[in-house]
Amino acid sequence: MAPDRSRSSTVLLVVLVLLLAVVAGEAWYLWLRPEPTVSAARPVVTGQLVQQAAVEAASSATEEILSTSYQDYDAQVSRATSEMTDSFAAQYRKTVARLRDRFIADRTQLQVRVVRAGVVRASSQQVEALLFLDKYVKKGRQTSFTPYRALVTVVHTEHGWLVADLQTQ
Amino acid sequence: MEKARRGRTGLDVVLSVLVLLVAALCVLGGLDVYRTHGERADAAVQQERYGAVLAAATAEAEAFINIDYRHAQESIAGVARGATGKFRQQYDTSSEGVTRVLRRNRSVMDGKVVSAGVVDVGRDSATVIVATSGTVANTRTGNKPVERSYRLQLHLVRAGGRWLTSDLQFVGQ
Repeated sequence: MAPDRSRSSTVLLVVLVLLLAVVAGEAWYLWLRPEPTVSAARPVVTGQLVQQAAVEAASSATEEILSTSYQDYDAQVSRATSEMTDSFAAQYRKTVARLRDRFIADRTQLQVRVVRAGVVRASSQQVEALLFLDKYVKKGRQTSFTPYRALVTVVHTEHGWLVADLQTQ
Repeated sequence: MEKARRGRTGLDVVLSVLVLLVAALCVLGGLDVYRTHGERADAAVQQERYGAVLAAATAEAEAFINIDYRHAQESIAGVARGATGKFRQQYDTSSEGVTRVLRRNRSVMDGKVVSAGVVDVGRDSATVIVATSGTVANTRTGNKPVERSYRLQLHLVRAGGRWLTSDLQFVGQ
């Protein structure tokens, strides 16, 4: 009788360990499996809602960053940097500091509008968006229009999507 | 002896209850894995569609901005290959006229796609924007290459297992 009891305990223990291994495998698949890697064949590896939110954030942040006026230059720089990662904000401050005096002296007003936006690459943490921009520059009484493009990278942070890079083309 | 037997019976009961609980967890987890696997497979198909439409739009845009009057027929055929519907008809029906204009103006367009992004994509249609850079040379430029950047919007449809361009427009040049 005693060996049978011992065997049943062993069998139950083995079954339990096997079932726990299955549960661990299921948990890995459901919660820990890494996101697929972004590639040319699969440039978007995240859901539509995530990438739409990111592209919208990239569009509104880019309008905010690139539109500026001699009337509130410093306040605008402050607003623009709140839409950026710390490292990109530091880089941006350096660039605009060089342009500040000339921009104000020329009484320049710059208005940028996003006319088209598309997703180039996207993961749950980083999205690259192609934006078509219309730029209106007013210097004194003269206004000029320039169509151009920008490739904007936004990253997901605890403060939402922030601009990590902006390359005009 | 009796005490040891009772102890093993108690252990078996505890193990049996644990096995039942973990087995139930296994079944629930299995159902969740099955559902998630289906969702991920659907997502993979949708995500691969982005790659396919971007590749098709990039190829078509490159054909569109690489036109040479010395190989006019080939250039036009290159655009027509990735086109469908009314957009293709423009190249089929007016190819002789287009060839004449290209030769008369000695037009050479040379360029590459800088970036392409998907505006929206569904099962059978997609809209893609494409930024290009390159040069244009013709009699107006004194046959000297002049830099030209374009902003293009392509509408694509899926036909015969391929993504083909049914419309191509310049965006506010």
